Amino acid sequence: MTTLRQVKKQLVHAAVVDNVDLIEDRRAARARARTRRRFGRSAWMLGVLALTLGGVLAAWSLSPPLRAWASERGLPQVVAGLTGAASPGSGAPGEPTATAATAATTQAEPTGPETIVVLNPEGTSALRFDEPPIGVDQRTFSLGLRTVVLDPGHGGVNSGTEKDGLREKDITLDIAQRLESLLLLDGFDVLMTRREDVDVDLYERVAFANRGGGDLFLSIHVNWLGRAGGGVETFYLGTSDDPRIVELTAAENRDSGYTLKDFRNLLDGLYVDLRRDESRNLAQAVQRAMHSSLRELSPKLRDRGVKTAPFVVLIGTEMPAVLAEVSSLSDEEEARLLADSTYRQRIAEALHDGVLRYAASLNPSPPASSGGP
Amino acid sequence: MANSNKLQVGIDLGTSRSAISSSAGQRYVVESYVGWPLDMVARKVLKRDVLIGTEALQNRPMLDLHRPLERGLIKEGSEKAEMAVRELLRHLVQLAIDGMEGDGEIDFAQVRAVVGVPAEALRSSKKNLRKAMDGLVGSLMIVSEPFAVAYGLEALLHAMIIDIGAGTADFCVMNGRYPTEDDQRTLTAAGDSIDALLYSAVRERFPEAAFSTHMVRGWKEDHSFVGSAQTPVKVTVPVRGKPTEIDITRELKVACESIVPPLTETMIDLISRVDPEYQERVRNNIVLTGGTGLIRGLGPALEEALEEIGGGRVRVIQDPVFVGSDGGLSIAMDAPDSDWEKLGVPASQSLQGSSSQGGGSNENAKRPASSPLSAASGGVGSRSSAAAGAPATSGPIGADES
Repeated sequence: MTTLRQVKKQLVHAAVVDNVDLIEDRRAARARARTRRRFGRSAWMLGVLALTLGGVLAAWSLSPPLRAWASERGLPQVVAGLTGAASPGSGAPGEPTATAATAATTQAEPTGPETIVVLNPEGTSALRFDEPPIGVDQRTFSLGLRTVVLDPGHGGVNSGTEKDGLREKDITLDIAQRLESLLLLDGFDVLMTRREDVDVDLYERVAFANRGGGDLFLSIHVNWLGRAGGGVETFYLGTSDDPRIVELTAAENRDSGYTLKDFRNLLDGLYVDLRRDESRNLAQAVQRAMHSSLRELSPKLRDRGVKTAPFVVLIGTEMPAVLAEVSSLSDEEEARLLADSTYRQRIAEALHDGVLRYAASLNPSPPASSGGP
Repeated sequence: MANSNKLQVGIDLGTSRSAISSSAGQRYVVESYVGWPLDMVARKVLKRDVLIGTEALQNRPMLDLHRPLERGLIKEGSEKAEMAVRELLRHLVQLAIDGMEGDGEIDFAQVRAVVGVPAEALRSSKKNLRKAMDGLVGSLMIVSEPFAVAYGLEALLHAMIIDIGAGTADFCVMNGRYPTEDDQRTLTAAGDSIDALLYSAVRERFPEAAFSTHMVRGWKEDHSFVGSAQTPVKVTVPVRGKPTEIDITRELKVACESIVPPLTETMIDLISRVDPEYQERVRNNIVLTGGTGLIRGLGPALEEALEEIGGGRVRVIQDPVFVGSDGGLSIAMDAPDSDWEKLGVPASQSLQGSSSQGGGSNENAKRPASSPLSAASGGVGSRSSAAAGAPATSGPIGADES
């Protein structure tokens, strides 16, 4: 039986742990950054299996002859066909779709401790309740972040979306450079897929990230939502039935050099990849930070949520990877804000906060004691 | 758990007003305004380097006046705001230290503070706050404001706290565990958004009337309501210099009711995420607090919205001035020394030259010793006994706005 006093004790302890995490983020960022990713023993075995499979498939499908073969066949239409065909029976648009393998992984997520309660007559205070069982720590797989790969979308002749002289390629590079400064201050190593206004194809971006040993991949894009309004959304790897996302995927994957067969092989390999769950966690952290921060400047900013889509940069990268659509140029208000450096700085800070939140989630805290002092 | 050589304090750092409760039995509330004399003449007249709270408001023509908190946090990118919030915090802590009687000398390094911030405050914002507290306290714990309220009220299980202040409306579902991000929400639909809407609406309808944002805030604090007006709301404003009575009933109703849809939507969304087995308990255990939570008819409006999902009960805290700071103090008192040792704050910034120390601002509501903790654990309905010049606590919005 747990008394109110014990509940309070646990709550205070949890508050202290939360604050210690905050302090250590500041004081020990560099020390943490030195820590390489560490997998638990069982996770390591599964990870090796999945990454080996994914790596073999990726190496096979990324070979230049295949890319050349694919480029002759009009990839955008092929990709659009894939996104619709690869997810039969998937859930509502925007919801993560899972194969049997990933479903099994997600079902293993722990639920919070269950409590049985007797309330006082006013129904306000917990007078006694059963000892809450100690849940499985969500951070069983202890991971560390050292190298963050930033991918400013588009570049060179590929301007991305445009409005009134504002070009996606310029906005994404500006935000990425601001974000890079913030991450460097925290002691992270940062790799940029481009630092100038140059066209880097998607294949090269993926290969660059993998060669550099990135621990996290963050692709930055600006949306065009037409009449759907504005908002922010974050993607991680998966399929989608949403026609808008299919269209968006086709646009972003243009010139990737991947074939339909390549995609199928890659997806088959990667859907059993442990990093997909990590990517989802990263996407959630980034999305929450973006929306909560940016709506202070744009109160009507819509939270379009965390979604899945088979963007090439998410498929080919070998680390937790997300693609953030940081605002929409098709929305008048957001276009006006994107032209303002204050807003772009806020986006960079929000992405920075999302990365830190994700990093913190990989850094297990001491388990809260349920009994002793 | 309290150490006799330490002073524990709980601080509710509010956009509009800030409160502090101390383990020595004192409670204070100040307006969250900080001002520096504009020039040497003003400095000579005011005889201070910095003025805080009501004094600052009253002398604002001679001051570079700042309201340093925005939506419950330090305004980002503003050095002046950072300086101002530091002066405000220094003033609050100094008041608590000065309020100790017969317990020997205490300095800043012996103060252990729990400070409440909006539920969804970014980590970077919390870090800024820690930085601002450097040298002002020995140890610091930052918690979400609604969690502090829940802790103080002991509404720790199957309860929802809705804390609506000037800058933010904070939601927190308590499940007997430390609330995570999924248990909390922060909206900017709060007192300031009502002020802005009311100002625009009155300006549009009475373009020749002369009034300020301070006047608008006063109208709201005196007359706010949702639903039906008990009596027409009439205020007097100068029109081409002539005092003229205008009826703002409709404008006030629209402005106040503007926050109801986002509040009800968020409340219902959070309830829907609770384990279905406990949703009914949470629905019947909702606590509405904060200055803006005192808008007449707001509690019943939320209960009306709850009818859609089976009904529920909303309890309105009638005297919310110290609810957050008392909750923070309870946490501070309950934390063991071993935990406080992990939460040290560097004494990196000099405390010399603090013109606000002992500044003797007479605006502060002060409460006799021995009351804070009893109020913190069951102090619903307690009221601060404001000294002369203290901020009004009798109006519907005239209390704490965190």
